[in-house]
Amino acid sequence: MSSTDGRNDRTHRPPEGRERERGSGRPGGRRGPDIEIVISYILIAGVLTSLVLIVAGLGVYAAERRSIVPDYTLPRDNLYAFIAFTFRRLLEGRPTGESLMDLGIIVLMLTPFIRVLMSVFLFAFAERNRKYTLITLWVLAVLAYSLFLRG
Amino acid sequence: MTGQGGGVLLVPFLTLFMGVPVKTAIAASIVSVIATSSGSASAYVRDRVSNIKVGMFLEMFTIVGALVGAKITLSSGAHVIYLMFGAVLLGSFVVLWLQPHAGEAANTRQDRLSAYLELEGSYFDQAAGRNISYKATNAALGGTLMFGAGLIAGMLGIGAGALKVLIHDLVMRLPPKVSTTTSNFIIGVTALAGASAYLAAGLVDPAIAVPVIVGVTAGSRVGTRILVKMSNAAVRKFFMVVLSILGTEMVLRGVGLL
Repeated sequence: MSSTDGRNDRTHRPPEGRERERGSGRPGGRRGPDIEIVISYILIAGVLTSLVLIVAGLGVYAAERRSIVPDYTLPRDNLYAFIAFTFRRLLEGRPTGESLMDLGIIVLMLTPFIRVLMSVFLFAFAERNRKYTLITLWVLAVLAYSLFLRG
Repeated sequence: MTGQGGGVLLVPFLTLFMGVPVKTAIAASIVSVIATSSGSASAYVRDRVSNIKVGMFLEMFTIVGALVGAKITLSSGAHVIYLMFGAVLLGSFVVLWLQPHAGEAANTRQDRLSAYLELEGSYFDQAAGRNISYKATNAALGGTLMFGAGLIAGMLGIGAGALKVLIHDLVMRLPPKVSTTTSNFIIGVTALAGASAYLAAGLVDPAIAVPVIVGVTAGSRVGTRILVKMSNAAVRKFFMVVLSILGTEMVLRGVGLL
């Protein structure tokens, strides 16, 4: 079951070179998106996008308000309402510092959610693993519920 | 900082020295935990050191724990939270002091549930220069305990990485590298469940959360670089001193003496 071909590999190449042959413990050389690689990209892209938005927002805010302390409040509501609120404000006019920072926080909070969402698809269609599709679906369901919570 | 010990210091720092209300500090901290854990998890997942199946399985328990934990904090008074926080800080101090660690050899024994759940894997160990295969065990007990780890994470707005690593090491018998990196993988999702409860309660305050997210992400880079240069013994001593001071202060606040 686990990657026996990797253990026979005695050439000690750097991790990038070994990835394809080790095939993440999958039996046989099955093709399709590699779950580790997809998850890894989602995580780093989400965090970097969020940080860029937050720092840019802080910069715009500082220029607008002459203060680097973002003195405003978020709507006291769940993430879905927060997203709707932010997009409504973005559509109303050019992005303000506040709406950019809000967007950064939204992207940050959506990053683990999208990671789990993609894991469901990958376990279901790339790995064809029923057990883990169900386990991941449970995690997704609880997360979706938590994002619907009201204060 | 190292995936353990960084987050737990942030909330006491904000409340004790910056005068931030404890629930606002917790909300800001748990949002920033999403950033730090996802950032480092990305590299560990790519290098296939984190075990995704172990992670996904345990997340089933930690996210429910985090939601319940956040709800407890939202309905508790500040004194209760200070006391809980103090207890966790002093508990971390004791763990660091005793430094429990499972045996060095990779575990190859496995119970039936863990085998059914395919909780096993192999990773390339840089230091040893070869692939190490391992099997995890005690899935049922591990899952139950992870609910508790999630509960503490959600209550206190921390990653609770040290506690997760302890469960991975001692109960599920994962190799140390796999246990720390898999804990990192779990923390992001767990933090999101908690963070959404704090967001809905209106406790995510941009004035605190934005500087914390930026500062902690930048700080974790610098911190890791400094930690790498320090010896393990020095890092351990430093954390033990900080944990005991902050833990005592939080407990004193909890009982109303500070």
